[in-house]
Amino acid sequence: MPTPTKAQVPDAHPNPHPLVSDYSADPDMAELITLFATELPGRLDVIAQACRERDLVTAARIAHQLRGASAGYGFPAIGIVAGRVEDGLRAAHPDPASALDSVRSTLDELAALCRRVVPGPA
Amino acid sequence: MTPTTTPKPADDTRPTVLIIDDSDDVHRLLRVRLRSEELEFISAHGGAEGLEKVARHSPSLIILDLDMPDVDGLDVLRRLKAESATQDIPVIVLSGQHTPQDKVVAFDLGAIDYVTKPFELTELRVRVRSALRMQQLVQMLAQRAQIDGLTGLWNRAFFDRRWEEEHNRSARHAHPVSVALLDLDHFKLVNDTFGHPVGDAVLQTVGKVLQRESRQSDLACRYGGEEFALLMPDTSCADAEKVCQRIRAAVEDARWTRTPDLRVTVSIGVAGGGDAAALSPGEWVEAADRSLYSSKRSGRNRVVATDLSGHPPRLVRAG
Repeated sequence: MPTPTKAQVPDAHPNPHPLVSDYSADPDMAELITLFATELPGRLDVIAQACRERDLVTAARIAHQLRGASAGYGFPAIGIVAGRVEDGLRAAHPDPASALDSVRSTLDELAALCRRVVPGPA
Repeated sequence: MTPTTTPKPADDTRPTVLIIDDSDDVHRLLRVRLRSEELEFISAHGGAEGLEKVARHSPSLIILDLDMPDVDGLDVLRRLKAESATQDIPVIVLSGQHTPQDKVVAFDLGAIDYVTKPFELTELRVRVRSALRMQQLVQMLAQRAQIDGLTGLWNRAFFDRRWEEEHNRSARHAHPVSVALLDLDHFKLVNDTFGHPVGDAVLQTVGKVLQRESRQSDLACRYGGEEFALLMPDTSCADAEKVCQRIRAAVEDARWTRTPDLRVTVSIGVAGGGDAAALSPGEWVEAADRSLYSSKRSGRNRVVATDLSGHPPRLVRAG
């Protein structure tokens, strides 16, 4: 069962479609947005590791946190996709493998979205 | 000598908001996004920690997540509303769960508001303001219900409750405590001679004397028509007698600009000591009342103190 891809450090590679926070112009939010962007790869790693270990509870919990928080940092699109990951993991499945299969493409979509995140203005 | 045990106005310090959520993001975002509201924030990252911090900090408002791994939010809410010390703290639920059933349960358990995640900042801000404003109004109303309208002192109902609490505390920790009952001398004559408006002015002035001459830790109350009570925690009978002598002298020395012929005196009965466990709160007040009666019988305008430490009680001082 293929595992979700590991997110790259956003500013280490060319990023033709940067994802910028809706609050990038708010000086109060600058530090928080940078913190969020910095922590994103780590959160995705936790989800990836949890999936490898068939730990749906942990994977769903991290997805839940991203779902609830991302819009607060100005990245509502991440929250929406994370929400689909959470719902998929929490839905009834015959076994963990089936659950993970059901969210595989959504996890890829989430990782791709997160790779586009840049902390500052576009 | 520091004044007074005036009932405090509505609290003008910064309100404290306790955030109970297992997500670090929520704590960070709320602290930054609500910075303009001039609030003090306390963080708890789980239900158990939240309950402990509520007990320790008595916040003005709680923002509560529902989905937490240890003690879930509904259980926290249930426990908060089951305790008299915490049941009146307003709770705003901030949750990613937003089925109608979730909201119904939360409101039924006593939440005053329900905001879904991801929250919209402006909406959350006004809901927090509204909750704090409502809480301040409730506190003011509660306070007004415990204050005597004429003198501004605490009223009898408040005194009875606080005396019971203080008596229990003193008994538990073997601390001394004293209670004084003060009764204006010949007050009916004052009303009959000078009229009730003057009588009211006398009561107000004596109330101010009590506030001025008692200590910060004391609790001054209007106990009845022309009767006052003074609760003095952590105070021996001898020290209580000194406070009351000061009050007696200040009342006697008061001058009445509009009624120069008026002279007002007060008789005071004190019951105090270090053995609160030996007598019930009611028996203690009865002892103060007997001291007051002795003060009246022995000529008025004097303090009679009875030390209740040890048995039998002994008269400490009259005069």
